[in-house]
Amino acid sequence: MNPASSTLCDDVIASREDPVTNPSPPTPEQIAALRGLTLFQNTTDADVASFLGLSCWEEYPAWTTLIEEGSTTGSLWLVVKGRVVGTMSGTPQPLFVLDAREGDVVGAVALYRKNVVQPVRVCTVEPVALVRFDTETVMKLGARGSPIVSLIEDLAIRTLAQRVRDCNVAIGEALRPTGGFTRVLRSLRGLLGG
Amino acid sequence: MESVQAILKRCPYFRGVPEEPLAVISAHGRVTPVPRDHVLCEEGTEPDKAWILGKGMVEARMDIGKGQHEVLATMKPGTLFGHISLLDKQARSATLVAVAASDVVQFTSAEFGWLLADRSNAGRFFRRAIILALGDTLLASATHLKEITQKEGEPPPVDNPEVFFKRLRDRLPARR
Repeated sequence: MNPASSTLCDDVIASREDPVTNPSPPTPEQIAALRGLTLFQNTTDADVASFLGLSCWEEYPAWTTLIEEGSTTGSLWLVVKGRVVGTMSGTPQPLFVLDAREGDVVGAVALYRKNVVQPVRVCTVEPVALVRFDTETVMKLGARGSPIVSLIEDLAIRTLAQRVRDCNVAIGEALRPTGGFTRVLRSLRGLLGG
Repeated sequence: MESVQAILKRCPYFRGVPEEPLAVISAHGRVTPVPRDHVLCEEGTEPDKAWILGKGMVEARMDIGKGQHEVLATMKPGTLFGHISLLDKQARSATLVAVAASDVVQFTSAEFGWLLADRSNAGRFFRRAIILALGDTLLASATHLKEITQKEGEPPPVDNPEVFFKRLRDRLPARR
């Protein structure tokens, strides 16, 4: 659970439920990394800097659990680099219900539903750089009409809709074949990763 | 027949929305009564509307061949449905059928898109509602899928990270 490095807020990493505060200004490298994401294409360095000033830059190695299934979290994560996946327990093979890459957000539902119990275990599968917000901050920014929050919401909506679509496609493929359960499982490859 | 605003007030996704933005959102919807067995949309067709159920019951049915269908979800009053296809602009993944006489609040694709893009308070509350509804829909779909996949083999012990990560690594889908 410990990050490989944390350049902005080592003192608050230990607990994900702590409000995010930023003790030091963002680095040019961090600003450049964010400017490379679609979300920030039409923003200025000053916009990105103020965005980072309200968040926490975190880096983790591959195969790190970020969120335990069944836990509660009050954080929203933006993937700046790398890839994280979310899986549900209880199936013979990992059931992938979240696959977030650069520019995707994780934890959007927690923005608007307090103490939401995480239905998935979220893990890194590549070295990642993430920007984490506490949901209170995002809510306050949203209430002030921050355009960045609107963009995050748009992104969250697109990501969630795609995941629902993927699940429904997998359900359809699993139920339509005629030949036994082995065939059913084979048809689930997309989400089971086989 | 209830007003759009009255139905939205009972919808959990619009709980706590102040009167003013709720009125703006309501102005973009229209209450439509539908009889039992009315098909709101067919699987595989292009999407043009999303709905909130005010009264009655609606089923999402997926064709599984040989004249049979799987019920993916049963919508009760307060449920937002039909929005996935509007969001990803792909064909409907299920047929939506009223299984009881129902009242639905209908949002056309244009109205839905306008509210999503709106940067005022109304848009903010509408996006919040969509995110919450998507979270519920995703959880329901993933749980449904889990039930299908659960039947064969033993699940890995969740408290053993070594086993868990080995299976994760072995089964990781290719990067899209």
